[in-house]
Amino acid sequence: MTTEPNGDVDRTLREAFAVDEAAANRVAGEALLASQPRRGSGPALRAALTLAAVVLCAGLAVWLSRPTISAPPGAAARAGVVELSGSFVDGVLVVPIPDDGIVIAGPGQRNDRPSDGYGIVFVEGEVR
Amino acid sequence: MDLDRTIRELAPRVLRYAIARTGDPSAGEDVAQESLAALVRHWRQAGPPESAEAFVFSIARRRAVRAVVGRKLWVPIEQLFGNHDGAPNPETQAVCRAEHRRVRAALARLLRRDREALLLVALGEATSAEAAVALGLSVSALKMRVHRARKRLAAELEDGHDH
Repeated sequence: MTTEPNGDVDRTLREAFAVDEAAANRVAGEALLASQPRRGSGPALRAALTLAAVVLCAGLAVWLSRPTISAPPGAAARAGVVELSGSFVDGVLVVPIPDDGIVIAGPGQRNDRPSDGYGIVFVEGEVR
Repeated sequence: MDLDRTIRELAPRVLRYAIARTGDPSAGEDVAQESLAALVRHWRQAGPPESAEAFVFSIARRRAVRAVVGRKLWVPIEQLFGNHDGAPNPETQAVCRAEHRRVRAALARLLRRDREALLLVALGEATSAEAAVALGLSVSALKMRVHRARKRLAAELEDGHDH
């Protein structure tokens, strides 16, 4: 049962959400001001970007020209050493090596060599 | 077309719509101001849009959604930090009249899409064509929503009087 025609509905809404003129003027004024082009902001932005680029380049140059850290003694000797993994079986370290060979090292057998020989096996870590 | 005059003519309409849409005078002012500022920027950079009303209300609608979501997120945080003395500011007091509350309650019972269309037309005073553009609808679909919303709101307001 409606007794309020459409026009009345709109009027009721407008009255309920009436805005005062001062608020509307404030909003309009702020909108016009807020979007004013800022004078001088272009050159300032360019200067800031240029400065940032210079700082970045200088930092990069310093980074690239830093002295290289010399390798620890003995590191060169390790060149060409291949890391292998193995497992202990009854106190004996069994390390499979390429070409299906097996190196056996461990207590009492440290000087063993594989039958066909592949060089020296360095064993690192704590043996338990 | 004169930019300054267009902005001053649109300001009360967008403000009214934004306050109704966000339910908060302060948020409504922010939304209205941002939407109008966007129009000013566009106008100065690329000339006036085809329809200033459709342009502004499209933006106001999106910003209002963002403001409402943001407020829903922030209000519980304010309450958590003890900012809930319950004393409304003068602006809030001014809009919290009984009639205002009654209309808001009736509006809240409308379908969201119908309410959106009605607010644009009734409060934003957008034409059907402008509101249709702002909502991405055909004019006939917009008219149907507005008609349905008016009818339902009238019934809700009548019910409010009865209670």
